[in-house]
Amino acid sequence: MAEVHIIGQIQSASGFPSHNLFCKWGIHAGGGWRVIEGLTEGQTHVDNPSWQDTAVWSHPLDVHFATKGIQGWPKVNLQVYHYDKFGRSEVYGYGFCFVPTSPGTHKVDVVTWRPTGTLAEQFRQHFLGGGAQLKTPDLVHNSTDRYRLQTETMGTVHLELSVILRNFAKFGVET
Amino acid sequence: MTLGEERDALTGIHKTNDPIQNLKIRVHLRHVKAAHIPLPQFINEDQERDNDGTSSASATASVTVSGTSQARGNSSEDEVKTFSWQEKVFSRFEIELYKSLANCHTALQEQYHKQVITINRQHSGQERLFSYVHNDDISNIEEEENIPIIGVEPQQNHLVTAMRELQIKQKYTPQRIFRRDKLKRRQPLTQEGSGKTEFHLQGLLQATCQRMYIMADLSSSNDIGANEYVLCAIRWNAVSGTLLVSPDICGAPNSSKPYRIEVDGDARNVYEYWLELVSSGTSEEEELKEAEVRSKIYSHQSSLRKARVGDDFITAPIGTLEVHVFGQIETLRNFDEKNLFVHYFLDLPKGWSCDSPPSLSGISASCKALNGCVHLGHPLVFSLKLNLSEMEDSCDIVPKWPQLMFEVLSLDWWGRYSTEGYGYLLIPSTVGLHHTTTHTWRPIGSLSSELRRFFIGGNPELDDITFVGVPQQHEGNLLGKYGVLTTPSGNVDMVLNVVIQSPSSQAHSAVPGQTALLERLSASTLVNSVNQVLAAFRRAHERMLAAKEGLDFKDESPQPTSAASQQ
Repeated sequence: MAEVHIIGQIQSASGFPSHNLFCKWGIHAGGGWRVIEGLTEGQTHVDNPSWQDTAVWSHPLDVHFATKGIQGWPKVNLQVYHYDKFGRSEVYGYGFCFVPTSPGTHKVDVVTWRPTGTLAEQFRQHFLGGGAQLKTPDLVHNSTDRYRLQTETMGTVHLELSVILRNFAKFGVET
Repeated sequence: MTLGEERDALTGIHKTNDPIQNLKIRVHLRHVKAAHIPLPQFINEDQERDNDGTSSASATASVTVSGTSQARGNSSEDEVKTFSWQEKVFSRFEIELYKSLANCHTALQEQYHKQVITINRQHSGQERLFSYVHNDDISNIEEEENIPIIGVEPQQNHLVTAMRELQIKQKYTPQRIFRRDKLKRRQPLTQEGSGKTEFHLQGLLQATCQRMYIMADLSSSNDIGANEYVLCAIRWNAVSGTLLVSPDICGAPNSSKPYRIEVDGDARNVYEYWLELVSSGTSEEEELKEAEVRSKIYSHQSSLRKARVGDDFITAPIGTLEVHVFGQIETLRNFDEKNLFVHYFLDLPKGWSCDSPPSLSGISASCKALNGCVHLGHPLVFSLKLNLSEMEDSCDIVPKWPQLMFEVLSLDWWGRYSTEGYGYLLIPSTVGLHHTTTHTWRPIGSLSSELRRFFIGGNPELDDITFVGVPQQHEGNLLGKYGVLTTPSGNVDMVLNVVIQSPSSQAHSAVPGQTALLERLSASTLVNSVNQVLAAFRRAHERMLAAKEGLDFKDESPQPTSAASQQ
């Protein structure tokens, strides 16, 4: 079996309309992949930048996968939330990115979007907060049925991922 | 940096798995008396290697060195003592103190009292070396240690006071080994109350160590206990197996330079001391056994890990090249309209196939722009197969690579759709991560149709979307798109990861890295053709055997036909 090590961090987020952001992350892979070691889900702390626009998390990622095939390559799913002063959290963006397939250190920018509703709902969202959320977060990384969604653009999350691959060349896989 | 005779006092950090009870340190203490204050002599490095105590003619300073022990060479006046871990040796001051029960307040001090009474005082004399162990109250030494600078008032800021409180707390709370599975704590890390936030100890690394100080009482005989100097501070952290010896072990008196202490700053009254490590080593048997056990544990762990990982892998079948593309349509930029989505499909040339055709085309979600930029984040996952045997028949040397054609559309408030741009992208043939930007265009008609588009909506569309790339109906060498009037539109950014898998027999390349596509293809076709020849030979051989069977019946003498075919 081939092995993939993913070591990196969720560095920061920029381009979001407010401060006080936190991020729920998860690394998911297909059926033939097995987690040998490491946490595959988690949540960062809430960051409130005081003098700059980017919220800095520097949240560590360290996962070790073993796999039987190339299909189902792991991907990082992100959900950015806004934590307001009343203690409520609302969705500020969904995004995902594939873990790079070539070994080395990569800086990845994950673009995020969030679903919107009708005009009346957007009006309400502007004053009260809240807003539409996805029922199943699967829609973020699946391409089926996405045309049903109406979304709007939100900010970007910056990741730095280092990928170490093992035994892929033995099976004829070039990465 | 160092004077010729003196040694720099650096802390030695040692990691060991041995039980700490085996630690033994021998201290040699030597008094050096000098008539006058010795001045430092700067010796050249070559002379130092001579290991000669006397000054040589080429020294830069011309002061004779008379105050060093090496010059005097007195070894009979040395005081030598071996300390083992947490061995309590009483100083003269302590003996006097604990002799009377009135001075003992705590249980520990009463225990010391009992010990002192039973000590034989015949060999008392000039015993200067003693030790403080972990349980002793040595706060004065600790406070001195906490101040790193000599001669300057220590500054008390919030961090220093907080750390000191933390250390006191750590000293008196039961130690808990830091464990990874206890990482998820239920309580919040900080507690607000009384204006200051206090930190919970549970999540923080436990840094307490067991300490021991080897001391020397260097005061004159009238004044016991006035000048106590720390010769060596030893800290042992059981959790990480770290032993900090400060200053570090230096070695036996004859082979290394000593550490110097000037009593009361008086350069004429100098003591030198050496620290030597004399823990009993392990016998060779034990060492062998230990190494064996360690290697057994390691091999067991690695076999466990291997069993978890497994051995099999899905390889590409012979004669095909598998191309996997993982990526996403990231952003759309600089389009005219605000609410955009993408309709794409992947065009596979001859020889290519896909296991799940529905994944080859799709429509993304519609997204509203912010600052001219639309974040789509639409996943693209393609698993394609190239059949190499089919490639041989065609006259192309390099196979045609699939192209991704897409159309960017806008959806407005009224529910009208209009085309914003067309573009195409060739799937990259090199493996790795690719960031691509595709510029799109849209066809325009006459001026009246543009006005109509602006006011009412409706725009010219392409009949055959493959017109964007190389059209399907195209034949011949010349591709002409003359006559179609277009105007540029925005950009589409995509990120694609390409992984290529070939049958594993060609996996091992001499140069690790990317093998050229042509080489892989030629190697594959070569193997294919060899396989075909082998298959043909096998068939011929079977036919020959079948034919021979019929012949064996009738005739037993070797036939010329069968003899020839047996070659």
